[in-house]
Amino acid sequence: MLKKRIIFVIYYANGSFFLSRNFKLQKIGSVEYLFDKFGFADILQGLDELVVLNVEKNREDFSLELYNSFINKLLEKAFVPITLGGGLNSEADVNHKFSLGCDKVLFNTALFENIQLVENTILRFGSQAVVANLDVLTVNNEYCVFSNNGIKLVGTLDHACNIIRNLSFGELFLNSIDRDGTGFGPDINLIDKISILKPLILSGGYGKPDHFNILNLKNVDAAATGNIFNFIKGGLNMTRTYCKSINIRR
Amino acid sequence: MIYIVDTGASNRVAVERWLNFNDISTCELSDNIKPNDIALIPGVGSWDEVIKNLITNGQWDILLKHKNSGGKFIGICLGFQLLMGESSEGVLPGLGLFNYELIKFSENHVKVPHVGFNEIVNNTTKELNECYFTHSYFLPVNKIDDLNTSFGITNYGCDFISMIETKNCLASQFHPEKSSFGGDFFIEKIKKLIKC
Repeated sequence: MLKKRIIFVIYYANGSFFLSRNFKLQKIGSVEYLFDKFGFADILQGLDELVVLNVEKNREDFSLELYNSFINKLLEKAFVPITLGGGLNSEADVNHKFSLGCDKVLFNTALFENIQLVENTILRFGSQAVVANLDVLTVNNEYCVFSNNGIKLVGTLDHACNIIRNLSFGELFLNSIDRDGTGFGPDINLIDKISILKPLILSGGYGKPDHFNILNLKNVDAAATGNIFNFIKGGLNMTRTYCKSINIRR
Repeated sequence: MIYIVDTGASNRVAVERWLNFNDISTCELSDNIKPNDIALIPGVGSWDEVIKNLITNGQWDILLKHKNSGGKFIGICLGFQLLMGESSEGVLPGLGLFNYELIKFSENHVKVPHVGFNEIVNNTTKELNECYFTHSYFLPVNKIDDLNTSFGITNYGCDFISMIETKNCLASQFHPEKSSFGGDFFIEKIKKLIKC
């Protein structure tokens, strides 16, 4: 039987990892800090997947050298599936990500502004290697999708789904900007709004083990959190134990 | 020695890192490969695209020669699939170590692709393992007529072959290198294949 997944998301910018709250970033520290202070080596062994998103707001500030060094150190002993994303806008960007040893790449803005790149990536690396990411924010009581790090309005969630519906990407990474980093729990109402039949990763809002009971819903295949405080000091084990206690496998 | 194929679209780096971490040495595939060496085809990529890449970079020929001289193989994910004869994902013929055909999961029955950790049960020993899968095409159980080979069976809407183990070949539809502790049993099998 296929197991539900628990995924950790690392927000990366300028050589450091960050916490995100409603898409406002707070710098935490270097990759060494992640391992030394948060015991990330242990967390890595208990995760089902790792996603690293480059959230550098100012693309000119991006240093390839710092990024490569961060990723290489992070992945040195990471024997779990790796997805890399954030700012992918050319075939060279995609090739570079795979050359670092990832299994999948994640597209957000390119879904709406560079669809050819998404299609070519699917053609070359296969559907299973492409994750489509929608960042959703409530505007006037309506779910709307934003691209470009959450600042550019694409349209309603329905509209965005219709744009990407015919792309044969492998998974949908649905993220709530409203819930992001709040710890208020994932947005359960978002799930029914999705009419795309792909493995669904629901992200945003997890703050305690029982928030992961959302995995009991048939339509949710994975839960993703970028909140390291969910997983430190045995938090990941507590979450897993909780999930088992309510019959979520794994 | 394990010779790793460069498919132009794989997670080769991750496979290398995993093998080296487990004290297994690797190098890039070349003409130097001997039948007692292992050719490892890593995963990620799409059928026709990867075969075309391998034909262009000369590695497809090396693989065919290696097969014809009875050489050892390891295939992971798409690498597992390329050891078969054909796939509905593309039109080009595979390496044909096994003369089976891969088909696509039906979107009427399950979400495609099949992503996540799932169980692998050995057809004879009933040994149970759990590893990470991500794929849209699969090898149906009912295609198999050879009852002497050791198979791993996984269920996703239907039973399919997720692992094949013969005297000179070890092939997995799942990613042992991405399965944390779940992949350790595969390392033991690789070590055995190196020695035999």
